[in-house]
Amino acid sequence: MSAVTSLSNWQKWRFLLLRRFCQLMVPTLFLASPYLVQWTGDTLLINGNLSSSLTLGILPMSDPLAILQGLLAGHPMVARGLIGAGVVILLYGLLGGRSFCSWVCPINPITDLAAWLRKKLGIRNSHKLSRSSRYWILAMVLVLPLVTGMMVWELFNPVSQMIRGLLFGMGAGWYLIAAVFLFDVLISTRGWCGHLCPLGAFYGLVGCISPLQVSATERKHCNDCMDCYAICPEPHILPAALKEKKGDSPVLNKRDCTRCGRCIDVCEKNVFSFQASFNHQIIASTRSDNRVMDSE
Amino acid sequence: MLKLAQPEDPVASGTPYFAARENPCLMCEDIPCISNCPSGSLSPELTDINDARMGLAVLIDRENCLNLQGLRCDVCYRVCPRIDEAITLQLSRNTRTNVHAIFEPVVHSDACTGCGKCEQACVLDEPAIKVVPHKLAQGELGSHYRLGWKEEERTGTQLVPRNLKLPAHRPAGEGS
Repeated sequence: MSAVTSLSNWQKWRFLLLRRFCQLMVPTLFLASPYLVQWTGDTLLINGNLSSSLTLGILPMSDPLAILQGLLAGHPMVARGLIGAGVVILLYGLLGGRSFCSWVCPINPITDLAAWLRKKLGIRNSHKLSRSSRYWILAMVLVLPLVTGMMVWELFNPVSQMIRGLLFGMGAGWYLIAAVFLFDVLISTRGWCGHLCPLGAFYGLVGCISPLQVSATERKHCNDCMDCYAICPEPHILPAALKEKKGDSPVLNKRDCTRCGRCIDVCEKNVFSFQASFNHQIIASTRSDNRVMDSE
Repeated sequence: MLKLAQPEDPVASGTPYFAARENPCLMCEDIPCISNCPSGSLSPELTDINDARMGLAVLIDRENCLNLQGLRCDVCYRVCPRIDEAITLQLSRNTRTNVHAIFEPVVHSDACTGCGKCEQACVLDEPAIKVVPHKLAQGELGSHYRLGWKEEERTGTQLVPRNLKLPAHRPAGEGS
């Protein structure tokens, strides 16, 4: 990040700080709700966890992937769960799909820390995984309940384990979290979030329809400093948006981009920006994903 | 009160369950756990908590139960939310002293909800009465099997006619 000189500290770190604040607020609000009842009038501000919650006694939200697994396992769901899943799909359909990953998911700080540590320790060897592994895993997550009648993935899901652990007690769940952390540090760069996590894959698919996107709008100012490549958790999506060949859209691949905004933070030339628009070609920039930067 | 299972617990990770010894079901009349369940896993058809069947209390250790030694502990009986229905005291003679009685706590499966208050309250260091799954606690009669007196109650006729003459089988050579 040597090239960053002319940006103020706030500009350099704003989206990271906002994200960390948002990630911290999610479990904090769950934990604080019982103490806030005197101001929220007998209903909990937010009750439950990320698998399923109820806000102010009226707004249900449920993990759509968990609900889907339950349905596929043959368990009829009651209306609240189904509406909750619809609300969440609508929410992330509007707010950028994998924005869940970088702004809400409690595993993200763990894997970000792993990526940072990996850089600090200079660990360069990384087991190559295909970026499309996550879609195969997602398919498996959906097939297993059909076959076994059980929500198999939810037994191991580190995302729901983490938030449940933070709110209700972790127990042996720490081993699972530690496994994800060590996997990312020692075995594969951005291994979990960037290659394997089926929940991320699911929200990625939701993000394909999202009007909120990161776009390399000012790509003509790009001076190839590579700062965005160094910081991006999904750097394989950058070339297609940055380089103007074949009329590629400047919008970062809406399926894989986590809308973390770090490229906006670090870019000295202000190439990137958040855009909200329904008009962009939706899959124009997906042309070269899964191949170009797979070996980063 | 319910707790969420951690990965090392005996039920699937994340499943709500009761550890009766620490925190039994309080049998709230409005059953808030059901009205708050977003998936319907806690059956919404249950409207009366007395119809809940979370398990069955079983007086597992008859050797150490104080009542069965002729003492008047009675704690499980007294804390039972369905006292005299789910747990009754059954009298018998105390053959050790021959002058006292034994008040045996007896659990009835038609009324016990498995709330676990008895398990929580048992005064022993390790409870003599425990809530266990129905599958573990109860036997089941073969579906083809008929109990004569119940059939008679149900149909009014006897399965086997009274005074039935059965053929006598005696060793050969003995006269009749």
